[in-house]
Amino acid sequence: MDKSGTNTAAPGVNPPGAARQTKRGNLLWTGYLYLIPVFAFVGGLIYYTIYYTAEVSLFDWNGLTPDRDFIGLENYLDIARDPVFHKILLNTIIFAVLTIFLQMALGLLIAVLLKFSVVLKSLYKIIFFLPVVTAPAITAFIFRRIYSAEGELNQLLTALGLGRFTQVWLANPDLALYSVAAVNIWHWTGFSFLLYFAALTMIDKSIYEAALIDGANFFQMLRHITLPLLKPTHFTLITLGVIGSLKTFDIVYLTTGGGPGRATELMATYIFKKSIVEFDVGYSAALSIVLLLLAVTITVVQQRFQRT
Amino acid sequence: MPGISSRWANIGAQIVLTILALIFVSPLVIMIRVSLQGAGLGNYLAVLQHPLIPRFFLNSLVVTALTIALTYVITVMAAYALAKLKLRGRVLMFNLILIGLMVPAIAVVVPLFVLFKNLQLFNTYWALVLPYTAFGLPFTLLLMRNFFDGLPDELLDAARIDGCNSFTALIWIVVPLSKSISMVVVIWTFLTAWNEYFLALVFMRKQTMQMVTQAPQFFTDFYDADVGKIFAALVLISLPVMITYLSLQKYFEDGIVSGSLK
Repeated sequence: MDKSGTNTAAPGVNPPGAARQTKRGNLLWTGYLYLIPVFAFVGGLIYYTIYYTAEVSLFDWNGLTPDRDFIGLENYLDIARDPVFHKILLNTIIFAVLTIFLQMALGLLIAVLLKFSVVLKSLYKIIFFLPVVTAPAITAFIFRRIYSAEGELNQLLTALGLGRFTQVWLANPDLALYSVAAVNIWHWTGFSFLLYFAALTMIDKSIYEAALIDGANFFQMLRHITLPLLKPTHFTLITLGVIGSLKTFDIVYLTTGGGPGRATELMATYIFKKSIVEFDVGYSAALSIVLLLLAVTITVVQQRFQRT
Repeated sequence: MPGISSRWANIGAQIVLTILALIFVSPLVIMIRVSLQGAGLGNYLAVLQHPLIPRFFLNSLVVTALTIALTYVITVMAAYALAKLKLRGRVLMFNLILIGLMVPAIAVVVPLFVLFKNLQLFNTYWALVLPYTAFGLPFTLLLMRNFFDGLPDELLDAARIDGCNSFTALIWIVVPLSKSISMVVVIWTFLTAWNEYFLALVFMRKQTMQMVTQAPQFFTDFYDADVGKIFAALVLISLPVMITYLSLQKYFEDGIVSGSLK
């Protein structure tokens, strides 16, 4: 602003430097306006609910009555001692490792195979990605049928002469977690595939040509060129996969409900049951905070790894 | 990929892909086959003639459209500011928003419940549009900011010299260049909002305000054990998302290339 306090100075009167200064100043200040909506939403709904959850986690509260007892960190100590929590932590780790690894391996395999001279490429791409756009609520319905006693999986096994393996897949405590993991793999492999396929498209072809001249075969190139160049994609998929496993709810809740017993109970389903079914809202809130801390810690550690 | 041009390698690839594709497509084939059990296409007619079905579709359509509009506008503005305007603290602000990626809506359902009860939002579209937008924004912002980061700064400098301010530069220069990534944001938001189950279950208690993802359960209760009709409903619910994806697939793939990979 000029010293006279008016905006009416004729153009060109101010020295160019001052004009730029003002314009820059405006730009700086107005730039933050673009961020008001995003922080209104993220702040109003995500930060607020995290704050509320953190506060509630310090109380013994059923979520219904107005009175609640302040118990400090008691809920967190209970979590550390809770055998169910240990069980679901193990479940979550098994689920995460299995699904992330297999989704990446299958996705990469499909992406690489589609780089061969094969026919029906676009049909394959559609088939592998359609599960991603299918609602988990629908996926759960389909697989509950496939896995049932009279379901298609058992019919297939019988037809193949493997009748002795038939069973109710979601009711067997030893297998239920793997059956549910298979559903997750079906649902999400297309996502890994698409990211790998996009990344492969961007690799400079001349690198392969140079390697060919040096006498490298397909597997050597895959091992020494393709896989290292896909490192950013590996990391993206691992990060999203870990967060996704911690958040997995619909697919599990709508197929097994976390059962039989606690065989398929994961973090998110346990949190839900503790608050909505068992009315132990304080404890459930503490679990939510633990989940958030786990997710943030793992992500930060991964970012560090990625940089090195 | 060069070095894999041998005929046998291609045949091998074709065989493995075919086997995998058969496995991946079979659950969807099963869904369609079961939907034709008993009355055949009559199952679809029965579902479509149920008076509440158009209502469920309308509800999901309104919620999804509002969520897409809000998410897109907010994402573009924020991604632009964080990627292209030299704001102090922009890395910190970006990371603060990304924390939202790690919070499942399930984990904060109690505070959401209390908040929406106080605001009297139960059985209104906003009870879903607001959380869908808030919890979707971190991911769409991540994608779009990555894309904007890749746009050369010279482009905006040139626009500024031509007399654009930051807003007109956004509208006339940046937005037209971001078609493919916008498609990714729109399709992704479409499918997460249309497919969401849990919040819809919690906040939409009135039958006339339920979403399509509630329909299978509704028909399970309504048709009892008539599996054919239940699965016909599943197919009908899936169609809008699948058709949208199929028709915009090309842009979606281009956008994934430009947005998510750096």
